[in-house]
Amino acid sequence: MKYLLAVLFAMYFHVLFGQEITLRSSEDSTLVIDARYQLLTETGILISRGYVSENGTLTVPQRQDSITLTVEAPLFQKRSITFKAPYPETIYLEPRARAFDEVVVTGQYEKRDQSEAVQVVRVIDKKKIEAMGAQNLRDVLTNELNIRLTQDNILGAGMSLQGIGGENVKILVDGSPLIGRQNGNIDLSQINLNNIERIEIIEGPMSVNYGTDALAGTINLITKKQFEKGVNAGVTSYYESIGNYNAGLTFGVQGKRTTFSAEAARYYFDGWRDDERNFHIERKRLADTLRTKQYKPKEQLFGSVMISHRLRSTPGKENLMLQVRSGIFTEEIMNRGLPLKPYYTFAFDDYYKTLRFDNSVNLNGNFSKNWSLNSVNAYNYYKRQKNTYYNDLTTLDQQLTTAENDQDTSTFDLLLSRTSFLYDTPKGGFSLETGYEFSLESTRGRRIVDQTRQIGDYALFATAEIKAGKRTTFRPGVRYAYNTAFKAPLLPSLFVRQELGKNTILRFSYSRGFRAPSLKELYFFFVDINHNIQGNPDLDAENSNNFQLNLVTSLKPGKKTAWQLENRFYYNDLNNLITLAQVSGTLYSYVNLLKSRSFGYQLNNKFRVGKLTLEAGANIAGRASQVSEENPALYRSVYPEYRANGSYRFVKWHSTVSVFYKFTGKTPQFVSGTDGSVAQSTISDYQIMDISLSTDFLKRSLLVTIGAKNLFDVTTVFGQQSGEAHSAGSSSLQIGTGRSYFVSLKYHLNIRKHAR
Amino acid sequence: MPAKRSLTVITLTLLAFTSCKKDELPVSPPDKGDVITASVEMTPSYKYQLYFDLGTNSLKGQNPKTDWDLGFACGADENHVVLNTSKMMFAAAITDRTFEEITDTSGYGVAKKTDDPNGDPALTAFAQGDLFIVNKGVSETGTQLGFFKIRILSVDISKFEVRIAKLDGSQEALVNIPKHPDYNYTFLNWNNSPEIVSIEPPKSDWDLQFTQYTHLFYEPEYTPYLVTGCLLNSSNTNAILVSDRSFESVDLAYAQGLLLSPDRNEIGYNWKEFDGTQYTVDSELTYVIRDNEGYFYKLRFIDFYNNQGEKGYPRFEFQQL
Repeated sequence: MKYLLAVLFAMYFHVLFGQEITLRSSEDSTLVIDARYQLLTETGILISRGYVSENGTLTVPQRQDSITLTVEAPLFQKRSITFKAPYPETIYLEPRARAFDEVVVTGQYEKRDQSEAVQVVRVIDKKKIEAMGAQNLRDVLTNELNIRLTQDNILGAGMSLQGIGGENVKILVDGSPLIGRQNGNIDLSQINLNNIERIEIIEGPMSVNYGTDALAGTINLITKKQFEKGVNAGVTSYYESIGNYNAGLTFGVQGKRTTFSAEAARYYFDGWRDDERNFHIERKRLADTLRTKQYKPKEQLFGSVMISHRLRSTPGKENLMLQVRSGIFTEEIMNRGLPLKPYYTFAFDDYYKTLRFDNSVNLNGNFSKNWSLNSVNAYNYYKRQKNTYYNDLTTLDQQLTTAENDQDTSTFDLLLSRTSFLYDTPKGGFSLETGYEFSLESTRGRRIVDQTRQIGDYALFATAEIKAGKRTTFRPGVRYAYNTAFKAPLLPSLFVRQELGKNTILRFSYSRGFRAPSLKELYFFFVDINHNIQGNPDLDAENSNNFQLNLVTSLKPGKKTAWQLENRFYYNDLNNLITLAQVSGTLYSYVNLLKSRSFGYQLNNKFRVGKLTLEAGANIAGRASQVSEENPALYRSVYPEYRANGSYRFVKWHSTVSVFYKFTGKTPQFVSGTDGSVAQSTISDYQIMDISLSTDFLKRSLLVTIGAKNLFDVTTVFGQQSGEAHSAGSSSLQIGTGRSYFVSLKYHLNIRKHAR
Repeated sequence: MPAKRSLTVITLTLLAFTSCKKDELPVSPPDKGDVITASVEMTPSYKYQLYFDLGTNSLKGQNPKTDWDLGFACGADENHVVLNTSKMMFAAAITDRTFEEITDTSGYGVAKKTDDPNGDPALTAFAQGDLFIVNKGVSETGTQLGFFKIRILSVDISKFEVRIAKLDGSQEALVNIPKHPDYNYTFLNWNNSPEIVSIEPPKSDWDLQFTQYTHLFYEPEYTPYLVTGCLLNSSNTNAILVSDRSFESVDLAYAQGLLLSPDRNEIGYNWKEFDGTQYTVDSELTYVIRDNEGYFYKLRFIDFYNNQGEKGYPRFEFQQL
């Protein structure tokens, strides 16, 4: 009976709407979702045109005569076919031979191929995330050139990009910014990749579009939005031998115009200390001096729901997508303290609880033939709470301590609306983007003047893409902002893309970046008998001038081989950097004093033959910066990085073997001694190598990945003092938790498939 | 049945790798023998000065540290005056003006001095002259308490005579400060009028004073700095830090062979360290103390926190030798 109804239902739809055709990649049968199509009659009269739906389908009316369908999608070859009813259910598209191209959206007017973007956009795709066994943003960035990671046991993982600290890196999820910076950095290990489709990284300021903090670069995480038609369920499970136990569920329903998805996961880490062996299993144990872990145990629980809906789609005219997303994230870090001498029967235990609540409403697409819009509206809430307990280890009775600094809660929230309108001339060749960004950020904390503070930022921006001839594209841009707390700088930028030959693209860019003084730097207030630290409400923004030159050469791709060579130079001139300084007497405050420069050269080589992909790159990163505010001299630190990645696909065995390797060279560091002398130390080099094997089973529905991370067993890297200066103790960097082994299971199930 | 199989796979995948938070097991309390454990309550703001007697294992007295300004020595042949360094007081000897000519703090900044924490009468601020501008220092909450001026008119075997006033000359008073032979000092508090206050217990009743006091750092530069610690009864209690053996192995024979320090701050403040967030007590430091009755004790600190985890509650162990 059920089946009969379904058949009747299907027939009824056939009559009314014609038949659905699904577009898939001829390579791996995945859905093609960004395609435009056009349907013509035998005599060349237009029947319809537009975009295919979210699940890669288009509807063809039932006709007697033959019709011609032309389909065009990024990364795929254009295809035209003429056919008569009965129409095929699936049409396969050949991937374009341009082997290393991916679709990108960050900073773009619409989805477009990486090679066509005016900016240089780096992409980390799902395949790489899976092959690396990466669970969070920190994990996946360990293999990136020009990115250095830092680790703090309480504040989490931070980063620097182009030699500029993480406070200048903007992190977005589908275009809406993440908040909750502790000491300037967003904890990268709180950004899980459970539901992330790909990661786009743009180096250099994107301040015209994204405003503050996008000075060193922008990282945009793109969530998974498309599913196979019907009901989809997924389960993931991950174990890593240092004590990571992660499990998650995803759920997606794909309708004709509407997609609903939800995810929930628990990531648990049982902590790590130097003397723990691999496959150490944590047990209930005595509260002795071994209770303290270098890497603290933590539990993350998170979930999100997303609904996207195609509001209107008139072929060729309107195509508006609405996406509503809400996510919640909690983390608890447990820091069991070292038992106090002499009897080791008491200890201070800290608990750090983080709550993130991120909501966004996005609206994208064409609303008339020549006009489209891209709107991001978000409300983010972040809370971090620290509690300290005094623990009697003979009874395990815990008491909240009463000291002023032991219990602390700080909250941030951000209300943001950014909308840009894009006008495209009918002929092409000129596009204009104008937009606004409105943001209201507030913070509450004990050490903030009046305990609560708010900053509003109201910006207008415009960019244009002008094609001069066939080969040259200019993209000038400017942003003007009014800020309630400080004088916002006017931000210009210019990107130029020039095709030098058929396979060579030159890109040049100049852009100005800035970082707004943080609420803490403006309004911090900590005065007691031993401290006098006060924020400075007169601070200016930090700013930079960034120049980049990029040359990409590709060998004309053959059927099986492809090769691409990329050269890149960058130079950043940073001014007005904010630092804490002794202003007068005992008063410490933040001042715009420091200058810094960073510069570098990068060479990237990608090569593919058959099922083998190789990638090798080198990067020379340099930075010249002031060591203290009294000393205007710039101290230069230059270090090399090398990377080599490879993967081979065994088609017969449904398996892929991958290797990821990165070498970070000796890095000079400078420290100012109390007497004003400058000491140099050199952080030793280190290398990180991961290997993995992925195999799929059960008709691709189960993906099993096993691998080893950090094969060279790197934990802490030490600095060696050089030079004569006496002060400044030897420095060390925490890099990792040593060699570990992982296994990851991903099971995917589509209900509609099974019903057939 | 595919659905059933899927369900099995899903369940197995989810349960494949899970773990939950692991609790701890309590450790057993230590066996301390006949060592006595005591603690005093300075409170987290270090507001109180406390007087402890080792022989009776008891607290003999306590006072809020802001209750007094100056202490006048009570010995018949003594003539020194001490500042209440727990408030970070300073006194500036004025030589170029008379009592009446002092109207404000001019001249104070260059001449200001505090007492040496070792308790040497010759190194007190008041050893510099007989006319002073005195800064009352700061309260435990950081409030500046103001200034007064004072002249020591005379000292004899039974009393001090002083002239005291606000800097502008108002509230002037002549005060007779009697010497009480059972006490170390007679204490004066100036709160816009002079007042003789009772602070310390009789000098033979106590050995250790727990208090804040002003330490003088000479590295990297001369800096008076408020520290929290333990001072000795300067009349007849002496101590020395033991550096070559553990608390357990200090015995009477060893203690009797030691040369004790005359400094009042021999125990001092640095039996604990502050790492920016938390105090750690160094229990490796053992002190040998000879009290006013001549008995030897060994003492070490074991904690700076009370059971609620509040700082300002030094806990120590001692044993008579």
